[in-house]
Amino acid sequence: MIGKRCRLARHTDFDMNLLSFLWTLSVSLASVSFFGLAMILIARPFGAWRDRRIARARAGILQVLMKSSISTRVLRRSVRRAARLDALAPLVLEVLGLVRGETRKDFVEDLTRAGTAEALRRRLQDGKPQDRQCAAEALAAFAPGESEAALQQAWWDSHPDVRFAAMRASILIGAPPAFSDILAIAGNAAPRNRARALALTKLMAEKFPRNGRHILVLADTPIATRVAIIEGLAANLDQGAFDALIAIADDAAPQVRAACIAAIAQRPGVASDELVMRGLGDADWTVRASAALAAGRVRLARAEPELRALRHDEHWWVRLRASEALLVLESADRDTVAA
Amino acid sequence: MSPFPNLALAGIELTALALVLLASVQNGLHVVQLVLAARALRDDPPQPRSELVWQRTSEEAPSISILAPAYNEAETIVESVRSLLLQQYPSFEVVVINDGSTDGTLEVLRDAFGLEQVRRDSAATLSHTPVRGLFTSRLQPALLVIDKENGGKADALNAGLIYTKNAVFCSMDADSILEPDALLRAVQPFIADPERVIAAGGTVRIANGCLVAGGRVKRYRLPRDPLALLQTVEYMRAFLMARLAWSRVGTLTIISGAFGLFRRSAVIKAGGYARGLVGEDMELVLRLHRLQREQKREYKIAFVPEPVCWTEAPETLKSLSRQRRRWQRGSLEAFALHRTMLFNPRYGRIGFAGLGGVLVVDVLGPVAEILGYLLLPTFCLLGVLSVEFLLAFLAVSIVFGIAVSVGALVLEEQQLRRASQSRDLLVLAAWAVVENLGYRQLNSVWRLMGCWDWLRGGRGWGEMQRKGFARA
Repeated sequence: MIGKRCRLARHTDFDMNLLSFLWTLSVSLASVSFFGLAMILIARPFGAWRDRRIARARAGILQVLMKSSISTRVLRRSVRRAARLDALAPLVLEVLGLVRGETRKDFVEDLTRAGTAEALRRRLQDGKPQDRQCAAEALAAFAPGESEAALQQAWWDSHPDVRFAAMRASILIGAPPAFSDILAIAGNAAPRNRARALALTKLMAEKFPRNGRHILVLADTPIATRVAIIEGLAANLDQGAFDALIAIADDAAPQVRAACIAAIAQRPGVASDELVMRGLGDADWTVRASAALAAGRVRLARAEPELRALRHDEHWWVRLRASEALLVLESADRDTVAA
Repeated sequence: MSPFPNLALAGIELTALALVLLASVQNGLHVVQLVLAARALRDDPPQPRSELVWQRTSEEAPSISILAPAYNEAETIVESVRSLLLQQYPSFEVVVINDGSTDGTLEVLRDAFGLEQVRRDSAATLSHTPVRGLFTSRLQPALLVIDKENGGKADALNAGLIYTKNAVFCSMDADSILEPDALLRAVQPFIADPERVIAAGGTVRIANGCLVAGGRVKRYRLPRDPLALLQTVEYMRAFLMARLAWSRVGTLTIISGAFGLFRRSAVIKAGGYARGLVGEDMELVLRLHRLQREQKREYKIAFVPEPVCWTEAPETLKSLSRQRRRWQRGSLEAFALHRTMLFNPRYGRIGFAGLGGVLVVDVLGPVAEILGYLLLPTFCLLGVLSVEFLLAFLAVSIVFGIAVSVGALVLEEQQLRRASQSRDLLVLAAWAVVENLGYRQLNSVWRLMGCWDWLRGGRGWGEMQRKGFARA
């Protein structure tokens, strides 16, 4: 009785359509699943074949490193094979990561003769974003030449990863973008890219300190950028950079003051000692922590009373850094007595 | 004609339609997840080689504290700690929190690493049971051991958190195995977007059957045990599909307690881990969402599919049932604590999609599924529902489950390629079918029991019988 009147138990046109839809849906889903599974199973041998080819190309490239007799023709073939498989840039990056000094120089020369830079430039223009990024990174190891223009073009790539990799490579090969371009990116970049823009700023200041010093004193340079420049300058702290940092050491921004102390303390001397001592009494805790860390690093014995007082600072990081510095000073003291 | 049959008829029809609707919403959610996960993997494909990741980001990688709570793990703790100390990461410390073990875990650690008691000032205040002592090792300067009275995992993590000084910490289980590059890969969101990212999760996989040597998974092999195989399919779907998809749209509501990275300052501001809960991992993530939204901060909780943490899955029905009941209880606890966020415009998409998803999948899901299994055949027997409809619904439900699992398998094969042989893919696909014919239903029963445990105010973790990893 009930059954005859319930919509899901009758066999009207609507019900038949619904039933037919449900079964069609089931069959379609099953077919899609089966097809998906079949595709990955069929793709497997091709993937394995590709992996084997890449391994062979890799072995060919590695032979250069082993200094076994390998002709440029054979190396060129390996390079071409890897390029065809979209594996050249990651391979070059991987192998370059293994070598240093003269070996690396020789290796890059061999690769250049085999047409690697050329292949990488092509990849930079038409590969997938991941390949383009790798190609830009790998080109940083080769002589500027034609790569300079290719990398410059990639500064405006549609993918941010490629843009940053290209700019970084340009800095490393000595053909950097204008500082103002990087600053514009650092100031305006989306949060996701801001950190990378700052890392680029730091690298730029490290490789081209004169430009960095100039930007540092501009009033409208954002604080984060100034801190990145200070950190970059600290990597190669020459007299010019040292003087520039001393000049801004009393900046209104505590982040800048803290970064200056950390950088300047690398060159012990009257000026840096004075700066560290001033920092220990700074009103901002980040500056006090930075100064305490620096006092330990330069073993500033006359800072001991201030460091003892900072062990009771209200901020944990200051207390930690002061205690660490005191430990260093005490061990230095013991070493002196022992000597 | 009496009104009763009509009323009953309407009620039955309404119930059947509600169940069908809920199942459709659940299946629809799975399809959305699959599409979102595929897009996430296409736009941000995993980096194939860890050397490349190291070259690119090691200089910017923040120091990390790995917090590993340990309770009665004397047999495995030394190997676990050694494995953690072998992480390929520029700067990290391993903090083992001995949570009042009674099997001599501390003594084993003391002997193996030559621990010496030290004093260290705590950097913050979070609630935890008293700490009995802190120990460092001359042999391993990156190791800190905290010995405290028993208080549970959340309590131990809080104790670890206040004695660490690094900006990012990794919470994990001491008996899990991290891949050597897991930290380096999981930290990528923190490097890419340091201002906004407050937490990131990684994939947890089943290590049953794998060959383990020197605290590392040397060779990936599928488990032989049917229950572990079924869980392998489940984990793949949960991590590679669901979590990746929800993180893509900013509605990730859980980062597994077995492996997750958090910004220390954000967790301390949130008050640390909530003690006395079994779902402390989910609760913390929901609380982080809540606080950031209330304080109108821009934030991100990310998920990275490649960093892998290996864990041992239960291989007996009893252990598995306990685990699933506990998980269900944990989800309900966290949901109940943050229920005011549900569909509340103040919390945006996390209130609608995030907690809405929890409501559909975790709260209503098991009840509806069991009701469906019981009521639809009953309706059929009563003649209210035709057999053709019953079979059609059943077929759609089962085939949908299979299609979603196969979809996750395709994603896995395309992007990560963990399975070493084609045979493994076939085996996983076969188990993706089998899963829907009994296991899924059993799981729903356990989850329903978990709901009952929660309603009764049940507590405790229950014990898991471990076989241990297969050693080389």
